[in-house]
Amino acid sequence: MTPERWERVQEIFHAALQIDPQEREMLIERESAGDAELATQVASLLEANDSHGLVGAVPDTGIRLAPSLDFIGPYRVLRTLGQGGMATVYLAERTGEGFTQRVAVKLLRLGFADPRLDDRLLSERQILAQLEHPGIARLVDGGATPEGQPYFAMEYVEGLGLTDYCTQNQLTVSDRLKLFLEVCTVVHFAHQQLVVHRDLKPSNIMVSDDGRVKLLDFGLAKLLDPSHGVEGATLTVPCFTPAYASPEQVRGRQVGTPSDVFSLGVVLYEILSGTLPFQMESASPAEIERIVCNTHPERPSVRVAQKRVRQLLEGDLDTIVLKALAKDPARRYGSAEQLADDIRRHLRGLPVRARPDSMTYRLGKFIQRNRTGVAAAALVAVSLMGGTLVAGWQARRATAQRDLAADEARKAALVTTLMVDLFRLSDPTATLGDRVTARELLDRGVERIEREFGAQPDVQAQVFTEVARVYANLGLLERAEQLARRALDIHNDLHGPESLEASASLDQLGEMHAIQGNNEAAVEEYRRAVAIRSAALTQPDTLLAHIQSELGFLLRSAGEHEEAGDMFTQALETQRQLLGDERPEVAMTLFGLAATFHDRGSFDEAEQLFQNALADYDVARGRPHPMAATALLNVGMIRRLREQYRAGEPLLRAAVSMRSALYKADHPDVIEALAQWGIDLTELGRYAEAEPVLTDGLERSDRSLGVDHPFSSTLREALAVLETATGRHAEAAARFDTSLAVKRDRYGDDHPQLVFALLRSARPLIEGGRLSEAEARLDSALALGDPDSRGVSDLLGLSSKVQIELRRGRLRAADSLLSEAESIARDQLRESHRYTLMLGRERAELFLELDQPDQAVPILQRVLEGERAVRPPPHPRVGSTLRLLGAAYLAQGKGELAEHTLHSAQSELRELPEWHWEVGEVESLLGAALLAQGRPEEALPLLEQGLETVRDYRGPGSRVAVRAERRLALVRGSSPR
Amino acid sequence: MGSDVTQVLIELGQGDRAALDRLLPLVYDELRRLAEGQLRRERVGHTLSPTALVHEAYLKLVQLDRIDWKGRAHFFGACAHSMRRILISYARMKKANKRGAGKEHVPIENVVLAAQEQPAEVVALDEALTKLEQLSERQARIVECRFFAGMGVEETAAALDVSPATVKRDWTTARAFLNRELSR
Repeated sequence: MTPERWERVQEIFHAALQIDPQEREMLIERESAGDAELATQVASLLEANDSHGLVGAVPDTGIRLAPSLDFIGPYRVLRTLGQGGMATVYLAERTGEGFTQRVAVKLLRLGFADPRLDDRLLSERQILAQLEHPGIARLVDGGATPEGQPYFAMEYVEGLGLTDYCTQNQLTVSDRLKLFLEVCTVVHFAHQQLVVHRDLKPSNIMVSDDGRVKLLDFGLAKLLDPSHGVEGATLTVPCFTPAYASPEQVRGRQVGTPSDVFSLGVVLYEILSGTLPFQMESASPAEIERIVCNTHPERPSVRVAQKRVRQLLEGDLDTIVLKALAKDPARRYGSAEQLADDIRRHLRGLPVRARPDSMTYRLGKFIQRNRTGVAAAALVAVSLMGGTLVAGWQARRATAQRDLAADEARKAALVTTLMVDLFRLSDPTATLGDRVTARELLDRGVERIEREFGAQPDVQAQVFTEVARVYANLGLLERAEQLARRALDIHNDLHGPESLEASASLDQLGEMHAIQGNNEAAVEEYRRAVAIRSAALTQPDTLLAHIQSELGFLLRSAGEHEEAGDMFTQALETQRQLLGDERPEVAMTLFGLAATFHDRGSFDEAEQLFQNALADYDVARGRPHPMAATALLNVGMIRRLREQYRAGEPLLRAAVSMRSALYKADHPDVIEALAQWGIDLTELGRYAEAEPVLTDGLERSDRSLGVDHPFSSTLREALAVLETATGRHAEAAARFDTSLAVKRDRYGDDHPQLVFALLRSARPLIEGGRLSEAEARLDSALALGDPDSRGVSDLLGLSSKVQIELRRGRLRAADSLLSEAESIARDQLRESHRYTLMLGRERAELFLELDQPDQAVPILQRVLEGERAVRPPPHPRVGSTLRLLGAAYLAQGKGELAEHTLHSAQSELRELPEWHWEVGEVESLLGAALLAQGRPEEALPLLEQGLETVRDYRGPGSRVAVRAERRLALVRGSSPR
Repeated sequence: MGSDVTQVLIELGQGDRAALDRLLPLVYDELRRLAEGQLRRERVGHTLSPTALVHEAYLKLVQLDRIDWKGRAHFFGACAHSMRRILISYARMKKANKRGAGKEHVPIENVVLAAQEQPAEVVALDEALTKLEQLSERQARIVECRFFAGMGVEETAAALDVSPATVKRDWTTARAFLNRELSR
């Protein structure tokens, strides 16, 4: 079926619905004119319409009422009085001891259990309860139904609506005016109590039989904020009747007393002329807005056929009514009282204050409106943000005393238009099919900017800059970069390549490169930006400091510690001076500086700075915000570097969840946070938790950032470290190979960036027994370091080489390598540093190999203490130390002590798979400890099983397997009982 | 999270460039989060209607007193379509998981509940709706607004910028069409 044919089917369908069911068949036959398929279509639709199908009747209201409405709160419902846009009104009564109270209960449609709404309603009720005036229907009570729908109980007023009253009693013009004066008095009273009605219309103005007016529905009004003198928060969503609504109301602007004056003008127009000023029967919202805001109503007198009445209205009354109906609130009567006053002057034959609205004035307004070039649709949002946006921009450019106002207004309007477009995604005529993505919306916006604003390059540049940021935050990096580059080109043309504008664009471009992992390009852009800005500014500003800090981080990771340190130092000085100490930016720069010191091996300075950075930022404060998330991440990382893994973990976890709330799942910032969290969990020995985090992060990173992105490498290596720790050395080695290949490709073969990857990649090789390969990697890593100042990387390399020599059984070589590493640690690390502890463990291992357990025990006890302080149980690293300690006790002949220690080791190692050699070694040692205590029967299975595990893992010829074999031989050699 | 679309708009107005960054992800993700949270909840008795979900998103994202009625309608309209996608993908998954769990045909009143309890029906509804889309885009949009965001006639009219009378008429047709398709 085609849409055209569907049109035709509907036509007949709706026509049939209008008539008696028995006559439908005839109608279908006639209309389908022999087209059997058409007839079937209509008939089946009619049938489906009558039956209760799967798609039930969705109630007209947004929320369903309770199935049977007997009571609303304590009020028994008698009947429905009326239904409005936002509420249904019921006549209800409450019976108490000796009294029956009749009320009108207004049940709001919008409503559900939301504490904020409750609070608002409560304060609303308190205010309205105080609004006592004989002309205002009293608010009796209010509350919410058990379903959470709010209701108001109001005084029930019997009488007629204002227009009906006037018509039925055939009031004269002057009687109508007198009645209207009463209305004005009541409205003015409410205005003086700072309450605006917002929905004045004849049906809300009741006149009792004795001719007194009573206004209903002040329940929708909202207290004027006395402190600001402007209208504050509305009750729920703005709700009004289009025919009586003011231009500011339909545009969604702030609504105050002038809006009520406008509505009074409409009411006056209606009771005088018998017609409404604006015809908007079944108009769409856009039409309503156009009519109310742009159409100038005819003079009321023109609408009157009776000549005598027309003459009464011509002149003063026309002028008064039209003044009340002025589009611009400032041109209306200043108050309901002033309106009343002019009517009184008219009644007394005095000259009225209102002056006719001149054509020149209206024309002037029209031209003004169109000169701004803002589409009608954008007006809504312009009112919301246009003015203030200009202010913001001007503040940023306080130095440039050019006449920017008109320029900035244009830009503001443009950004606004774009934003309005973004929010128009629900408009089917404007969408591209049904899958409109943020990206498509942005693309369309950019196209428009290209198309319509080619003559205003400065505006284009500004918008490109803004939109580039949005793209970047959606992870659409290529597109972001394109736009940033466009902005730069425009700035170069307009202001010159040495301008501050150009430097700001360079900064953005640098950021794009950095996000994409293109660090060299980023460094280049940042360096240029810093140079331009330093030269152009007499005093460094915060943007310069920001760029310096960003540059510092990139330089740091490129191994340019010296220059990085300079950048951080300069940035820090500016930021401290201009921002104070307590800003996250300062903490970040401090972190960079600290990390640089750390890299250089200046651990004391680094630690001091870490302390400062931690103290400077109060982590607990703040809602989800990119800056807060970054600060959390940094502080978490600082804690990790300071080996406060446990304290860091919740911060990193929080950073992950905050960034996940702010960005898409595969956004670089989310991936970065995942990596850091996963690394921390690994350090905590929580492998089972860490692995999915790292796997997930790596998968996202490879997919959306690319295999060669630094974050992908970080994650890949972190996962490999985890795999190494849990005995999956083959997988780990493969991962390191990938990561090394990527880095070699990017940096070349001899870049400092390769050092740590080479060092870490040696570990799984050692575990897998590929000792010479591991050695080669370690040697090339050591060769890349600075031979004059040995640092932490050298220490790590030496330590791994010690492991190799221990496995080879070359104890003397191990001893000399270890001594070298120990001297670095003594110079640069504190005693409890994890690397110091690592070396201690190796030293103890060497003593054990040399059969000097008495030397090993105190070292291991110290190491154990240090490790337990930072690694919560169960932690395999603690397990390793306990294993060595157990072996040492065993060698000392302390069987029982060894047994206890080895049981502890087993417990700490429980995160490792059962086939891991350490697990087997501990079993074997435990067996030996039992044997030493004369318990061979218990010992035997442990010794056998342990040997098997170790043999399978490390190979039958390995030193550890040979030792386990010897232990088993001891029990076999001992005489069976 | 207390992020606030309105506030973002206003902050943007005050020249806070960073506000722009936060706007889009908020609108898109909030609803998904709410709906998914809802769908994960096992106890059926606590399942919210789409209306409530969308209102919740609205309350969370927009300060009621600072946005105009058209902004609200557009917001809801946007939610309607997202809701459809969210619920349909959920229902597909659910349907795959509980193949052949023969359920009696009960009218779909709460589409969130239905996505859990009658995934097959919800998927069928989506398919029928896709058919309708080809005949009349507007009618499909109206069904989305009414059904997946629980919007009233007036709101739907405002969101789609058509008259309420058109919405009522289209809704009648669309419902008959869907019921016919689903009973086949």
